[in-house]
Amino acid sequence: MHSTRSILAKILGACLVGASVFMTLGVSAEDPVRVEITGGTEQSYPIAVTPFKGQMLIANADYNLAQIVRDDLARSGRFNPMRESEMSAAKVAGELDLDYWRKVAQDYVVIGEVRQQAADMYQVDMRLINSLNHQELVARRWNGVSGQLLRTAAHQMSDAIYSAVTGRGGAFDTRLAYVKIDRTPGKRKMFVLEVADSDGYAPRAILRSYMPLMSISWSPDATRLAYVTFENRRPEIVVQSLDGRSRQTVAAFEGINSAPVWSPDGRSLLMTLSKGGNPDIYVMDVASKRLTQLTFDSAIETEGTWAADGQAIYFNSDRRGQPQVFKAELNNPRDVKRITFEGRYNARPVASPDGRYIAFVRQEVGGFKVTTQDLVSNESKVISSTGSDESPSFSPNSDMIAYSYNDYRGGMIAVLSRNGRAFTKLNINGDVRDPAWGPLVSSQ
Amino acid sequence: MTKLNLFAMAVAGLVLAGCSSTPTEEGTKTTAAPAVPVVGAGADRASVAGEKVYFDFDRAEIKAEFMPVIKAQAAYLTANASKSVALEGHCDERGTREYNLSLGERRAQSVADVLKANGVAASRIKSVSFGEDRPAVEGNDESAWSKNRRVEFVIQ
Repeated sequence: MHSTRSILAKILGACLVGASVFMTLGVSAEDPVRVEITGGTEQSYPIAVTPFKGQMLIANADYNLAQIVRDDLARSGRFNPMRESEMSAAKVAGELDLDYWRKVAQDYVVIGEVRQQAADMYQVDMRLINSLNHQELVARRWNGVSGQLLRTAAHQMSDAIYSAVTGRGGAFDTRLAYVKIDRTPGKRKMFVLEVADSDGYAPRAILRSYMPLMSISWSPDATRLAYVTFENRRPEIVVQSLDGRSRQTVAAFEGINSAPVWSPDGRSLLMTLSKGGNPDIYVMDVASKRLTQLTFDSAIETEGTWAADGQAIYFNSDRRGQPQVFKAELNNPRDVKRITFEGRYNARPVASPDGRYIAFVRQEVGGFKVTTQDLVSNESKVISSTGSDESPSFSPNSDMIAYSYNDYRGGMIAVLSRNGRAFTKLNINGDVRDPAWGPLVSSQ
Repeated sequence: MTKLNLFAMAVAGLVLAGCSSTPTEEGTKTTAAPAVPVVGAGADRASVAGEKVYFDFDRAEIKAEFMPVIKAQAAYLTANASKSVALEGHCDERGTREYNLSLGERRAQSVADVLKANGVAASRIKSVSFGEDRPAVEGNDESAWSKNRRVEFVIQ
């Protein structure tokens, strides 16, 4: 497998021209994105993502490719990228000197080059090299990239690097959906459903409403969002396509219609309905709208979520007097197992796509905190240091968790590494909350 | 077909394609952005005036001090047979949004139970929940929270 990869890398590497000559760049600004690392970086990979040759051809400072890649890798907690200000200018400008990078303890080096092909069109090469054994792990070219897609190309580079070094899929070329509260002075408060890149850049509005919106879920093919809207002065579930062409109310029964979550196969929606007198969890076949009831207790059952294999659900029930996470198998839903035991309030579970963990919100002395539980060992761990956390959502590779919290400025969206050691507040303007991390869409 | 053959084909394909690899088309879809739908303009009504029933955190039991408030509403509805009531349940911002939506409904139902016990027909009562999303008072401390854990009476 490794030799296969290096053969491929050599063939691709041969296609790259002039990649060994580098010069100092005028771009020097370190991105203001702050990644807070707690508990040390000893278990993360040291990597030097050197400034891309030709970066100055790109006028927009938001398109600093090396910095986008560094920020991506740092956000994962699995990498400890060297700061550009700590790199030797001579070594960045000169020929690639792998022994130098090895001596300054950078096990991996990324070099790249940008060329302008036409007005607002670029070609970008990127190579990843192991400085310890000089093996080239990735060599790729992005051709005909418009300025608008340069950040997407950089996220794809991050994914390629992440995958080559960790052996796990990357999840940077993905999107987040979330709710933004628009409090423009002098205007009525509005709730805006937005979709942005996984680092919070390039937001665009999908829906604007004068009434609250919440509980966003992506269809597995990333073409549609299900969410809860109060536009008719009560909670109803709507499915809307991202291209804006279709918008359909799928549940508007008496009482609550809420907490929609798409099944891994895209055929069903889990939802909470109180049409039976109290909130219970149902599964709706999307094509036929047929409903099957999955919980039957007279307590509150809500916040259902699919197990990774789609054969069971985790949900919140207060049948023991306080919210706790339970699990039910689809083929025998009345056989309910309690999953959380520590803490008196454990709610809004979500399963990692790899099936190993659930994340949920736990009430602690310091507030409501994102918590993970290893489904093998059953050990739980509070991983956030903020205090009014909501809506944890796993990245498609299970290695990061997006969530929202409040501070004196309003709602914020942050990304935590799954172990909680790396915390990054995303750079999204405004009062934002309830992120839902979209699936991998293709590319690569 | 073996893995090796697939690999050889993949490499041949890449070489023929001139080693090119372009970003996904996902991003290009944004260029022809359709108009963003705007909804809910008619549903946004301010919090109603009048007496409210308040609750403890994560609880839906009616506290004794609020029984007279509900009984007064029951008396009004009994005297005005053409009127009906929508009970709107709310929560403070703490805890999870979806659970709070259910908790708000449970609070509205607790009030509905008292109205029914005082002679109001179930057909004249509607319960609805807004969870934590329509606070009466903005704020992040108990003085705001205690005013947000409430049920409002909307006479229709």
